Amino acid sequence: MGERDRLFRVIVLGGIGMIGASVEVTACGSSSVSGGTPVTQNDASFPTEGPAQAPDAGGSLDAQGDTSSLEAPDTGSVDAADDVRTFPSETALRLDASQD
Amino acid sequence: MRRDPLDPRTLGKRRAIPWDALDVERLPPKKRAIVGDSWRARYVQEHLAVGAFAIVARELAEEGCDPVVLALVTRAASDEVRHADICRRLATAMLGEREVPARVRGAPRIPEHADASPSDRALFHVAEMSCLSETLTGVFFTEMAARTTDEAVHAAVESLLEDEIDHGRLGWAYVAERARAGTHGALSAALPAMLDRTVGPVLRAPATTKRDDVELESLGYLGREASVAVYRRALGGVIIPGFEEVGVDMSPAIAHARACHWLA
Repeated sequence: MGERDRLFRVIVLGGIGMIGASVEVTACGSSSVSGGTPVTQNDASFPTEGPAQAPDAGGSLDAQGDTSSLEAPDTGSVDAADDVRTFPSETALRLDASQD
Repeated sequence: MRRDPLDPRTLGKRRAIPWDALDVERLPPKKRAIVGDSWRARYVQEHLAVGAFAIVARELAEEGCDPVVLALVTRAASDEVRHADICRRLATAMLGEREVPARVRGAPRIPEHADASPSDRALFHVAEMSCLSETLTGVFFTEMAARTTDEAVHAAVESLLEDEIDHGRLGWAYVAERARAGTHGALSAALPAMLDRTVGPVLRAPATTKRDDVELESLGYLGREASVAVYRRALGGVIIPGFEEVGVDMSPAIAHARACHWLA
């Protein structure tokens, strides 16, 4: 088996094989949403994972909170944000600087 | 034996890196600086990947997906924090502490796909981040690991690689899930632009007569020739057959890749 076949098998087929026919869950919720039963949140708070939270009349939970207190200190840091809309690449995008 | 992706022992496993064995003196300062610069650039990209996976994780949580995919994508954001630290340590060893920031901040500006539905946007983001970028990275690090002779750097690359494999797999798992549900139709037309953004910067790099310096490879480095070869191999042998395997119409992407002379 060549290297190309091996990587195809490991990455692609390995990924596809992680999910079998076991995803058929139809216990409750809207069958029109293939990804699962929808849950929403109706007040500004973080999810409560400790004591069970009583669902409201709509049976939903809230997920949107104020994140203003979560900013990291910027001491000793540099800005890493890109100008171009693309996903990060951890490989060879630095070809311009290579071997010069 | 097939491992369970949700098994805590699988999620928590990490390869030890023998940092004490790192021998950067094997290269003269000028060559060490070239390799160190590539690890510093990778440090930034790994940090940006934290934010990218966090965005994708939120989208998948909203849209819904198999728990295996959700576990892997949320773990991926944490993996990238560790990857950034590994790259920072390598860059610092090769360039010195004054040349490498102790931490970086910022998040990537990923493609908006403003006209797409939220469901298609999530699909496009997973495809570009995992099926393309992370799969390319997996193939790239496989080649780098084969050429790296320093014990510590080799272990570091292997450590990065084993996570990148999972980061690629989660994408193929999700696209296959969408294909089984018949909700993957819009992906075909979106792929040519995604290829431009992912393989384009490498495969469109101007040709040069300069040959790769194999001495650099000892500390974890692939030159232009090797990088181009890896990307061509990954595109033709893994990525295109991968999308075909899950049932995505690859006609537009293949036509685009051929027009760009990216396929043999």
